[in-house]
Amino acid sequence: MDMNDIDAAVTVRVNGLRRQFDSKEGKVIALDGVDMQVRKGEVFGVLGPNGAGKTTMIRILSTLLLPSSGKAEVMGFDVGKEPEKIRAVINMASGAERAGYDFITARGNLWFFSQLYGIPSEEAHKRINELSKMLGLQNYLDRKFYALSTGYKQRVTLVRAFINDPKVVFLDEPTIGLDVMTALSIREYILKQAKDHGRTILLATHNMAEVDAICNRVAIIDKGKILACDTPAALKRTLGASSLVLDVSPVPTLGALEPLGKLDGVKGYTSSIDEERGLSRIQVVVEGDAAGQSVVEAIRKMGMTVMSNWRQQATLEEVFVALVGRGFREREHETS
Amino acid sequence: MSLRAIAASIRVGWAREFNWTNPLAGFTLRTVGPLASVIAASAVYYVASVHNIPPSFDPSMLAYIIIGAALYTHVAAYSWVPTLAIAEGKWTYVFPQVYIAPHSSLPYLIGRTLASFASSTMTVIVSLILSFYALSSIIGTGIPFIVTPVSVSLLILAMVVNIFAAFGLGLLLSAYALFATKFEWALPTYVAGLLMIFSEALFPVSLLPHPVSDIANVLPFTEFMRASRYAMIYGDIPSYSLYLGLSVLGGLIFLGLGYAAFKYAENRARRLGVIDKKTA
Repeated sequence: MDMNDIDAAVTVRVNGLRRQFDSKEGKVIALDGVDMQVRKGEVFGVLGPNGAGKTTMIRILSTLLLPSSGKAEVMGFDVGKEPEKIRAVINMASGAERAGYDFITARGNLWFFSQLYGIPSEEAHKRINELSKMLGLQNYLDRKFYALSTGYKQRVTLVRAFINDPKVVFLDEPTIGLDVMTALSIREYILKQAKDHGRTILLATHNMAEVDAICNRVAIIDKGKILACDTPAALKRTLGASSLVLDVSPVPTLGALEPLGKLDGVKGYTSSIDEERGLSRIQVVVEGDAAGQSVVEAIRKMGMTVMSNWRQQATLEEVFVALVGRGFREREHETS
Repeated sequence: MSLRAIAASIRVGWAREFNWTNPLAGFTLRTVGPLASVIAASAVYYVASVHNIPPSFDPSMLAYIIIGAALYTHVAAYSWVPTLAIAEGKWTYVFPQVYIAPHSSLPYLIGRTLASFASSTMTVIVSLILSFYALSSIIGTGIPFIVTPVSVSLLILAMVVNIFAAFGLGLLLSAYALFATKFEWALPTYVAGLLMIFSEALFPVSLLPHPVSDIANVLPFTEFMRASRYAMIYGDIPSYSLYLGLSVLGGLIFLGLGYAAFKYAENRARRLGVIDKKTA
């Protein structure tokens, strides 16, 4: 593939993208000079903690929001100057928002959105049936929107996101708050849409398993900046080491673990709480066994008991930890 | 401008108005409002005029009030629909999805307005008929309405023509609703209150102090009220035509202003990032 082919295959191109918001607390920089390219047929993940800038990027690319500076193009059209041309070839869905009129059936809602794209009614109904079947929604299409469960409302949202046969689809946390089985079927659906129809899917998420499962490439984003961008496997390989996982008790407060980050050979750490067992799980990205030993000792000195510890293959969160020095949970706590 | 998008929005708007209950209950409840307004305004006039010294009750003035009150509730009911469509659309996330569909926000607002216009026209006509018979029998005197195919057609034509002005007003209000997170639900109520005073709904605007009366005198809603009364009470076609023409002219000006304000607000809202924002 020569450079021209690569250029033709790029469906989303972002250069120096910056977005700043004025708030009561002052200026907030949501995106700080983002550069990124997404190719045709790719499921591209944008992974980061809450407040990292993922949703802002999707809002800009889907023409809901203008950038403060920089350039963003979708299918070669500029988001600032040619929003209508972009709107004709994209769609978008957010997991946190399930758009629909409560007193209209799922089918009625989907038909309404299809009409906004000028799809002939018969063709629209055909597409609604086909897409719904793929998501197991076909038996619920004639129920009023309000009567659907969260999972089925989300399926309606995802059918809507593909109703206009879009070339690029922006999905913002599409499986948030859903049970495992529903999330799995939605991931399969997304993959199928990319593979079978050559659609570009830009998936913003903080779910690492989701990125690992379906994304061809992923950009790790924090505080409005892209820290790394590659395939999930390549990103994990860059760590070059497995991570140390410790189950400790009692559960430490968020700030209590900060000394860990200052130990020699420690690239960063993150923690989560297992409420059922009253434990905290700490994942530490370390360079070498000596650093691992010093982590265990430091935790003991903090007054915690190490219930068990082991090494595991690096995950994307540990890649994030290695890049930032903190996990998603700590990052969200810092910014809240 | 997509006719398909307008037609779908009419259908959705209609369902939004009536799908929450069965059609008969929905229609009945929607008729109660305008009917109550007409009867309340007429009752106030009747009681005040018969107890005046000397009594000054005038059946043609009662007809004037019935027409004004009914048409005022009609305009108030559907002119705020664009604002409603945006305010509720932000909460349900329907509006951001409409916005990112190509060239769709305006057809969507037009469709929603037309659906409301149709339902409100039906309820207002029923209110006019019911209040006419109810008040005639209670007061025991005839109310001088001209009810012929021509007069009713002229009234309906005036109502249709007034869509320009009402939609223009709706766009002006929705321009605010696009980037507002406060008062967007209440604003149309305030404006409807002003409309009652300034549109000759219940009394001639010449009774207002200058220069307010001059402004009210050229509002398309005032011309619409006058045209409707010339059709239904005075039977004066030349005067009807004059006021209908003025109503069209004013309506187009309102529509132009509303469109410009809405487009400006759309761009500003996109710059501020509030098109999909629910709270401040």
